[in-house]
Parts: sequence; C-alpha cells; structure tokens
Amino acid sequence: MQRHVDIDGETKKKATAELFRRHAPAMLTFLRQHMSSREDAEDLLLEVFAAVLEQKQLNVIGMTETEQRLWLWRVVRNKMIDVYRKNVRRSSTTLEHVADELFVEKEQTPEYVALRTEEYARLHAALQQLSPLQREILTLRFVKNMRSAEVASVLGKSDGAVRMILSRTLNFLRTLYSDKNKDKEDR
Amino acid sequence: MPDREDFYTPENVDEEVEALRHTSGTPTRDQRLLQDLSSIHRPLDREDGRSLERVLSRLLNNDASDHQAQLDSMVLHHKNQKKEGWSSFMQNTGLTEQPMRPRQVIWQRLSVLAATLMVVIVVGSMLVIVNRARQGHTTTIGSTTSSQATSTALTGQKPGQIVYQSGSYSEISHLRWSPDGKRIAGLTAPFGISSSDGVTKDTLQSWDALNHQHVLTYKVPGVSFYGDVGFAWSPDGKRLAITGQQKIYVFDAQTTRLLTTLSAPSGEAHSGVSTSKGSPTFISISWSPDNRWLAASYDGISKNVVSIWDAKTNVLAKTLTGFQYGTEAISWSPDGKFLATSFHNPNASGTITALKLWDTATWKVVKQYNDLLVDFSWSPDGMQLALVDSEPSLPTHVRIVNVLSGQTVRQFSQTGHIGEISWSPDGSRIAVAYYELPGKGNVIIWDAARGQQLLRFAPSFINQKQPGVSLLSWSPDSKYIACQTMGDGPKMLVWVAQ
Repeated sequence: MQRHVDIDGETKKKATAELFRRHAPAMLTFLRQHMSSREDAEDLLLEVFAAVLEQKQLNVIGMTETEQRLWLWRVVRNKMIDVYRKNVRRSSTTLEHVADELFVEKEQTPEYVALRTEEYARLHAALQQLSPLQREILTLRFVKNMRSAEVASVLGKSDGAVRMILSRTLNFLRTLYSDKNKDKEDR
Repeated sequence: MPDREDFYTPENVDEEVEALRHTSGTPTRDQRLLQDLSSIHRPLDREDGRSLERVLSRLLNNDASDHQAQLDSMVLHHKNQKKEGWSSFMQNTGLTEQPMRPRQVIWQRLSVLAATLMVVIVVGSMLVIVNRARQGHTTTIGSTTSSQATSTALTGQKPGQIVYQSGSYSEISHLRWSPDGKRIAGLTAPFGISSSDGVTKDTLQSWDALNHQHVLTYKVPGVSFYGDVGFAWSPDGKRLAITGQQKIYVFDAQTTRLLTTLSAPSGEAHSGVSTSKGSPTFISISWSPDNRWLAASYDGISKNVVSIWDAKTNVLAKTLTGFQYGTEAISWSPDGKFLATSFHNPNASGTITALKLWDTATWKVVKQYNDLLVDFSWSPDGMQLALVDSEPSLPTHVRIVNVLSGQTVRQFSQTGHIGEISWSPDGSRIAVAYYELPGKGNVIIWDAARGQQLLRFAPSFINQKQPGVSLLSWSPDSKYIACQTMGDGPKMLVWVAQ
C-alpha cells in the first residue's frame, strides 16, 4: 500500500513537470503582466502547479491537452482572486490601494481578474489555431511594433495582403473578448 | 453567437490600432486584446527562464526524497528542449549538474535502452509500412496493368492513416506534390537556422514523397524566403518555379540547376524599395497545363499585374492589368482554357478579395466573382470552381459554381472557419481544412458530386500541441494528402485520403 502511494507520487511529479513545461511559460507571461512583482508572479505560478500535485486522483494528468489548459487557467484565475481577497482581508487600507500594490492594473476587482484570465486563456488557445503567417504578422505588428507596410516588406507579402490578414485576424480575435454590454460569454 | 462586425478594416487597420493604444481610461475589449497580443507573443527573456527554473525547483523540491522525480522531469525537459525556446534554461540549472547516484544512473540507462528499443521497433514498423506504400504508389502511377500489385500494397492502409510524419520544423510554408506523384517539394526551415534579424529562413527542397528520402536542395541566389511565397512544379514535372520577391527562379527539378531567372515588370525592379505600399513582390505562380506558359501575379508600387511568359523562350508574352489594389493567388484551369486571378477589390463594405476569370485564347475577362474570397479550387475538368467566401458572415460553406454562368450547383456547409479547399485530381472529392474555436482544426473530405462527408481526418495528436492542419496538397493519383500541422513546430504529414 505504502509502496503504491510512493510510485503514484513519483508518477504524478513527473507528469506535473511535463505539464509545467507545456503551460507555465504562457502563464508566467500573463502573471508578469498582471502582478506587480516577479516574486508575486512566481508564487502564484507555484501555487497553480502545487494544486496539480495536491489532486488526490490523477485526473488532471489524464485529461486531454485542451481540458488541461482550461483546468489550469481556471486555477490561475481562482488563485489570483484568492490572493486578491486575502490581501484585502489582511489589510486595513482601501480596496483600491491594495489593488494598486498587488496588481498592475488599477481596475482590479475579483471579477476583472477573472475576466482577464479567461480572455487571455482563450486568446492563448486561439493563437495556436492560426496559420504560421497570421502569427508571424501579429508578432511583427504587436511585439516589434512594425506598421503593416514594414511587416509586408519583411514577409515579402503585399501591404494589401498583410492589412487584409491583420484586420481579419483581429476581427476574429476580438470575438473572444467580452463586450461590456454583453455581461457574460458562454464560458 | 460570436459577433463579427468588421471593427478593423484593411485600409485603416494601422491607424485603428494606434488610436486604441493611445486612448486612456478603462480598457475596452479591443484595448485588452491589443495588450494581450503584445505580451503573449513576446519571447521569454533570461530572467523569465530563471523564474520558471525557480518555480519548478520549488515545486519539485518540497520533499527531499523527491530527487528521482527531478531527474525524471529533467529527462522530459531534455527530450523536448528543441520544441520549447525557454527549455534551454533547464540545461543550465543546478538540477542538471547534480551528480547522480549509481542506482539512478543505472535506472536512467535502462530507461534510455528501453526507449531506444521502442524507437527501433516503431521506426522499423513504419519503414515496412512506408516501403509497402511506396511500392504500391509508384506501381499505380507507372502502369495501369498492375492493379493487383497496387491493391496488395495498399492493403492495410486505411483512410485517414498517416503514412509519413516528419519531426518538428521551425517553419513549413508550402508543400506541393510532383506531377508524377513521386516527390514532394516544399519550403521548410529547420530549428535553429535564422538570420541575425531573427526571422526564419526557408529553403526550397524536394524529397521522396512517402519517406522524405533523397532530399534535393534548390539554391536561390541571394534570396531568403519569408513566410508564404508562390511556387509550382511544371505539369511535366521537369521544372520548379518559385517567386523570390522581385524575381522568379526556374529550376531543373532533377539536377537542381537554376535554369532561368525572370524579372519583375519594367520600372518596378527597385530592390529594397519600400513605400507605404510595402516592397513590391511576386505573389503567386501558375503553369499552363501544356507547360507552355508561366503566369505570375505581381503586387508592385505602380503596377499590379499578372505577367505571362513563354516558358521556352522566357519572353514576356502578355501582361494582364486591372488589379488596381493588389493581386493575390492565380491558378490556370486544368483544361488550360481559363486563368483565374484573385485580387483586392474595394467596395462599399471595404476591400475584398475577388476573382477574375480570363479566357486564355482572347485574354478577355469572361467572368468576375465579387465575393469575399478565402480560397478557390478548380474542378479537374475545368468546368466548375469550388469557392469559399466569407460573405455574409464566416467562411463556413463551400460553393460549387459553374465557371461561366456563376450558377451555384452545390453547397456544403461546415462548422467553424474554412481556411482552405482543394479539389482532388480525380474530381471525386473535395478536401476542406477548417478550424473551430474553442477546440480543433480538422480536414473533411466531401464527395464532390453528392455533397456527403466521406472522411474526417482528425488524428489523435491534433488536439494537443498541433491544433490543426493546413496547406493541403493531393497526390496526383488522389490517394494521399500531404499537409503540415499548425501550431508551434509544425510537422509534415502524408496520409491516406481514400
């Protein structure tokens, strides 16, 4: 019995390390953007994957990649809300002040934190499904801050083609983001 | 239901993005999207690598007896390091430098031995399958009297079965089957080869279709390929033509010798010129079915044209105009009677991609399709066109039209977005690559005459790291489809389509 538990624990660690390898980089990028310090981001990332290890059954490991991603991002969201609430309780200062210290964005509320995590997770999934050309255009446009004409010349495409692909891709991606008027998305 | 009003327009997308970036206040959905796009694509820096290292080490080190798990995870990382940019940090961690206890070394060596044996078995059985497939394949093409041999060789190949799968590449941009069905040519970039500006450089190669052996490399002088370019086998399979910005290079497919270089329209060949319209470039290329003509669309500064050369003398024979806002893909009809040219065409709802059909005897436009075209494909008899357009909403259906009348003959609907369409060379089927969100991308093969779904290609791994496939290319005998997986580290696949 004891031995069985040991083996199970090791298998779980191995699988968790693999999950970490697959999902942690995107999560760190997100947390770095939304938490005010690197240490806070690291702590939260650790908590997310510790949650996998704490699972009594090995169900996360057995999930499909899509299910794993959804599950992990849900944990990220819940942990962020937890951190937010804990600090609010511990502190005697106003909510806004706490939000300022912990999170980068001033609009932080538990709802906002949840919304942003979900949007980011959806975007992350959607980008995987774009063509390599679409992703390259997005990278050049939004990371290297090139204008469409520059993107076009780098990629050897016509400016018109880049503008067409970029506008279509953005029109598609914005459907993953909640409109304020539409309170809830389906998921 | 997702809304999809065109918030961004091709004409003003840059200004729209900049305006959003400089608006303050509570971020709107579009500002949040742009913010996320900026961060999500940013590569992890060294400090991020250290963060990941610290977190993983804390995660696995919370119990001192968990040394083995660390080592195991290290093995996992090591195996996958080529696929993940950040994982190289693992090599430099304390984890990798810790001396192993003898038992662990033995354990690890045994694991490696077992893994090696598995690989040998898997590769061995794959080689057997591939060889059988290859024999069957070439027999089919070479002779019509050997149907018995063919059916024997193909026994055991089920529709949807993958007969060749490559490792991951940094980039794959086109795959095209040679007309004799023996080779595939494609633009690929292996991992780790990129220029100083960090942009991946593709190489044009051809190889044996079913096992990626006998690779030939075509050296294009002074040109690096970025992303999509046009390239095509000549219908007799002897030549390969590829666009390289302002030149077209024609190679001997067998010897790899550069035969001809064709130039951009006169007055346009200003290397390095960049205007608000971007660098002028050739976009797409198509041979006439009789090998006589080579047509290419060109998106220039002052000229957007389709040029047609005599493929024997390399003399420019014809220039088609009337593409004021830019050219796109072109394709000669299989019977040689028409040349289809897609182009940007502004109308009240913005710039759309439309299609002009030219009669190749008179070089007059005989039909124009003003749809928001995503992709099109000729029927092998040249009488019909399969169109995917995204009007009025998403590209969710395939329309088969009679070429000249434009009359819709059949229509197939598809959930998700259709990205590509390709009619099988024997005319019986239409392959459609599509993706849906959230979830997966797949290929559906439709019966072209009856509109029934015949096959859904959705290999088990498609839902994971590689969420779909694209760039479909039918083998000339309509038995296989070559394609690439989407997502990071794309792979080539050849699978049984029948």
